[in-house]
Amino acid sequence: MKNIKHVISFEYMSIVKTKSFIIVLALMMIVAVGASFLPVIIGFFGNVFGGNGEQNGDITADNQVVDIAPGSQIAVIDRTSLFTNDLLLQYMPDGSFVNYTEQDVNFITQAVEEGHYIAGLYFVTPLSFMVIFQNTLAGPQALAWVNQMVVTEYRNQLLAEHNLTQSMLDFIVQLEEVSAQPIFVPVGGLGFAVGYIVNFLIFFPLVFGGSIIAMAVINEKTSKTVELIFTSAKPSVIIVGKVIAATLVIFTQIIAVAGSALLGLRLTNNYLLQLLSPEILAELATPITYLYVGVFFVLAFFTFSFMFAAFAATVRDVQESSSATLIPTMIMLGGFYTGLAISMNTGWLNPLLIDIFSFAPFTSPFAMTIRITAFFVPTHQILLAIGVNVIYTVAVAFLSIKIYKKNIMAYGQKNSFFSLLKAKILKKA
Amino acid sequence: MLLSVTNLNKSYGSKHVLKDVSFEVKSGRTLGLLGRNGHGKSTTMKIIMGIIYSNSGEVTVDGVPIEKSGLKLGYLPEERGLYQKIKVIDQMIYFGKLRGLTSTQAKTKATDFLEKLEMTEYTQQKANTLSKGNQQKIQLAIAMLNEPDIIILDEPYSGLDPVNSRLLQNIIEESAAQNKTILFSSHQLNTVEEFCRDICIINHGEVLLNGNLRDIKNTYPKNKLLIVPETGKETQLVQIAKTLKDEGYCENYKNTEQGLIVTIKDEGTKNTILNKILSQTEINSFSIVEPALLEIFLEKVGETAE
Repeated sequence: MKNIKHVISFEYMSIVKTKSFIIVLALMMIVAVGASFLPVIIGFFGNVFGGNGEQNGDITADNQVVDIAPGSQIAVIDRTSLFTNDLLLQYMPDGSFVNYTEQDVNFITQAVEEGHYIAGLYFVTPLSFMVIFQNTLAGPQALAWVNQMVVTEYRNQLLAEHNLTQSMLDFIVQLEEVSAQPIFVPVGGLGFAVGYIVNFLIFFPLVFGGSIIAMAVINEKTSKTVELIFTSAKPSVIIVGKVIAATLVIFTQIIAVAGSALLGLRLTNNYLLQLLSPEILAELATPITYLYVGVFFVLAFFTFSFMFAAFAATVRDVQESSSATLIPTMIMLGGFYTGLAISMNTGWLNPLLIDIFSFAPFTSPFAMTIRITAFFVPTHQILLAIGVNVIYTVAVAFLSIKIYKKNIMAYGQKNSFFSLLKAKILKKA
Repeated sequence: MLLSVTNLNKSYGSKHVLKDVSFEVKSGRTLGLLGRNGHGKSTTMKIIMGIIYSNSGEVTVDGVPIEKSGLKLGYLPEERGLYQKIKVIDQMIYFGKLRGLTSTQAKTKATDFLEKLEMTEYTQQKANTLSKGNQQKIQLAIAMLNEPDIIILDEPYSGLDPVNSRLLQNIIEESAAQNKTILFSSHQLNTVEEFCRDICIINHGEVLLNGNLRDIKNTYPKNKLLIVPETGKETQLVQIAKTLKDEGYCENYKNTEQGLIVTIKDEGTKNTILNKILSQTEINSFSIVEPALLEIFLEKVGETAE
């Protein structure tokens, strides 16, 4: 096992010291910094071309009184201090809300689930996060009211505080009316935004990592270096070392690009910086949520990386690299679109299907990460999904090592994926 | 220490590439593994190294499976391959560490080997800037970095110029003197003949001939005489040989640059022939010619080809 350390170190250094890696990373960092200036530029052109009419609190609240069934109440947890009792009273003059400040999201979830309240509203940050829970007793009006209230109040506050144009605000906060659903329905627009971003945050590192490993395997095979390595380390050590090295490379890229983006935000004093403050990050999700996301990401990374390595081992020359990586990329895309569908789901996706995606191989990391970040998922489901993903990862790794071992020394022939499956994969190569 | 290869069999699909291959190599000895291209030499070596598995048979050292023997192995593959974009010293250190050396030890060994191979100027260069021969020398150095007990070299001479061939030969001889077990394949049969005590000829995956080269040669009849004439007597000697053939004393004769080679019918006639020649002309030397390895190889391989 000591050799894994050497393989990781060598593979990592041999990637990060290449000119192409340094140039690409530098470009990504420049783009990350540059992207922070985009709102400034948009704002500038917005002002120049007459976008002023929508600015700065011109819009007044058009309060809509909610018609709530007698005896029904809505629980509100407002950490933003945006929705004062007076304001809530404007919307619900009969006082059919209960405003909590000290409780957490679990309290409100349980309370709505058990029917103490017909709906629960959970406002965490002014700009970023809101969760609505409702049960079957709440009609669409409650949600309509929430939309109305939130959109109006948020808009007023944001326009006033951040000197934003209406179009910029619409881009950031796309609150939409949500149809009445059983329980745990997120605000569609925000859920989609979170899910969409998380999906990309998972997908791109997986693609980059996969191609790094595929190219490393292909280069070793086509240059015949692999024979020399095989006399020094076991195939499993080589492949595991490569996967871990690629993981570290990707984390290096993420840290560098994220650091650059932060620098850019600071330079432009961008309002998005508020979202990245430790307080807001802590409000957005608990540390355990971040941990869950990290675990799913790493498991997905390992699973797909092993697949890329196995398929790369089947090529005969460098020209075949794209065809070798096509199948794992397509499988990964399947996971990506599944995640996207879940993030966009406002009730049209069958809950059973969501459950299947949450535990099925290759879609599970995407589905669960999005559900965890944008929705409420019971802890036991998360833990079960982690367990299942660990099994998938180990199984894929085991199979990939077999395929790698069988094919890496076969220079003249190319085995199709299906022939590999039905042939002697599980036997000695 | 005795490296034993016993009844190795290997198939790729329906193609049976090794058929009960067996041979032995003693420590301090060098075995030349000979055979035509694609007839199983490299496969045998890869199985010994544990790079690929055999379908049956075993490789042992003093009766213990080689992978459990704890011995260090060094291997120069037939397929040359270094990390093309990595510096020579970096990849040597990497392979050294993979074979159990510390970073410092690997660096020291690598530097020593580069010096021995007269390649210190290439230390900081990337592999893709080196010539094919120099890349091969680097691979040889990598194979020897951890001071292996068993050294397996697949076509080590291909692509090397005479100077580098001599350098390689010195390293192999030095290793043999240190009681290492050496197994190498080569098509340069004169080189094999020069310093291999044992040979093994593989053809179509089967061992055709295996054993001590001297013993093998002794099994061949000593029916060739090399007669070197005095200067100016060459034509006369050829005439005498023609007469001897006509009279039935010899089967054939051939004039070569070394002298006249006469093939006799049986060893008992060689004194008669010599006396007849000496009675008619003057010669410089007379010797019995042993069969060359090339002849043995061609004869054996030719037999199976037929």
